[in-house]
Amino acid sequence: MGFLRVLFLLALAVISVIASQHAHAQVTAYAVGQGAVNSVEVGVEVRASVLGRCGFATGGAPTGTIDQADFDQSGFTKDFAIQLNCTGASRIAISSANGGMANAVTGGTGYQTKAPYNVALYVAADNGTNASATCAAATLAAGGSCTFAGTASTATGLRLSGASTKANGSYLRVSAPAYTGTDTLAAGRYTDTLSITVSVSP
Amino acid sequence: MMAPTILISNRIARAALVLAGMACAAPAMADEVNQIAIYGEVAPRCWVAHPMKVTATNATVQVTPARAICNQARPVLLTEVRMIDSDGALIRRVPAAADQATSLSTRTALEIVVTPQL
Repeated sequence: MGFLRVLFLLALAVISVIASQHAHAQVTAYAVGQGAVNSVEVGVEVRASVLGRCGFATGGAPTGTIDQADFDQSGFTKDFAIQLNCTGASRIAISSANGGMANAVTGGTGYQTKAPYNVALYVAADNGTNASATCAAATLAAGGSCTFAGTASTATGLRLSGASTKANGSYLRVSAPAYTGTDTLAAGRYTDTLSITVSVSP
Repeated sequence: MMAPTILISNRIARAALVLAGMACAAPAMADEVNQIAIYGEVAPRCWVAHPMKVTATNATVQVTPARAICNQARPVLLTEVRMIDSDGALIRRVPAAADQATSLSTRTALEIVVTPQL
């Protein structure tokens, strides 16, 4: 009996709450002159957060080309300056289209049609901190193991912990020594494309 | 008919909340993408990896074969015979294939040139 009484009281309480909400929802506002209530005030709590904006500063994106003749004998090195415009921590990632400089010709036994090279990344923050890493281009291809391989996101890429909004000497360096591989590098034109992305990093 | 203002307000509020939620829930991806192109050229060439080495003694002659490498699939071989007189001056230089009927001088060298076929 006691249990049934408690159950009954609980049911009454629930009905009472529903009824009160229903009554509240039925408050209707009418046009002026058409009813007593002309406006209803509804409180809406809106919460939102805005992530820091991060990108390359105007004119600060690494861009351009390098074209080196007889690079198998001379090697090459070139720096591409970077200026970020990130109001907070950021990540930079790089992907290589070919995982090395690739030649379109068909290779054969004893010949190599993909030339290795290295990519170094150095980024500096306004507060003096910096981050750097160097990887072989082969590790920048899809699924590569380099620490900054892929497309930048909140979890992918070389992380710079501080804001960077000035010219802090950041750069991307591509380089290769003279080729010393066992297989002969086949004659021809070699090419690769690096895609550099930047993202905020909470 | 009288417009129920409260219903309109609720719809706007719901839409605002949904939009705000979408903005917050969307994963932060790369904000900017930039590309640089890397080109390089390897000229066709051949080189001697190991020169021919001839070691002659009174009893035997040992020849270590030469090895030439070309970075192109179709190298050209040119073999010439150089006949030298007793003073060391070059007398004749003719393709080896055409030299079968030619009598050789006492000092003769065989020169093999390997080049890429362009």
